[in-house]
Amino acid sequence: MVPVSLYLFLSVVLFSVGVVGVLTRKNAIIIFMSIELMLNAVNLSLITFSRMHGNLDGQLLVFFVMTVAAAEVAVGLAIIIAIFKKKDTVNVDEMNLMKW
Amino acid sequence: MVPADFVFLILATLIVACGFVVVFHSKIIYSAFALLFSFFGVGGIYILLNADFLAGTQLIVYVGGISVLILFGILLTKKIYNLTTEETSTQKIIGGATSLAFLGALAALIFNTDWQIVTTTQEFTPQTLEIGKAFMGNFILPFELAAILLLVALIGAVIIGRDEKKEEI
Repeated sequence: MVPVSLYLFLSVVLFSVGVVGVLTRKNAIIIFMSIELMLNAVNLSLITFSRMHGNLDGQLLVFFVMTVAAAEVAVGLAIIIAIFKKKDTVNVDEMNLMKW
Repeated sequence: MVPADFVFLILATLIVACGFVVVFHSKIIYSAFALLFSFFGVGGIYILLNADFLAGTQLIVYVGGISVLILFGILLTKKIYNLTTEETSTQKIIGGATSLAFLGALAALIFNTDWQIVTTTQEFTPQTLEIGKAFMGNFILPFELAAILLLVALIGAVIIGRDEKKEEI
């Protein structure tokens, strides 16, 4: 039996990899995929807690996170591609139309 | 070493290695494929954690849906896949240091906490029935809201993503 802390550690490592992607890359699609990695890391820790307590609530929450992630991917990717078609760039530094 | 430990090691290596490819590869198409395998590995970990329903959902929604959507988005958009954006080294250093500090703090937290484990059963118990009962019982309102959210997102994505030149019908 793998100890619970190892599952949580895996989740934290995956989340940190996602944070590195969001903080260091400028390609909007890479940032987008890093956000998906972080969502997966959170789901992993929620399922670990659910298993720890023998309780289904964590798994139900993961189901809703997956729903929101699917919606987010559909709309987010559409926005990024629409911006790319209009401005020919996916660099987040150049998407500054709404910057004050 | 129990087989489950071995499987966990393989899956964890797969997930983290693919995560690094997603973040650090310069070609976006390789990142998208690595993301697919990373999702796959997370689904395997769900099976190890006795969450059979969610492992199936992970395969259908993430591997079959989200990854393929991102791949189609990249492949069907002209010239989006060989764009390079250069990152400044200050951004890399500050971002890397921040996330390393974050990782260190959370890892220290995890390994110093005395986790209270309630269940000790090792055998597999199917959970789809219980999850279905919960969705049709206490969680019926959030379940219906999720359905409406998906509908709204679907229509929104179609409206944002379509070609605006073919407006006259």
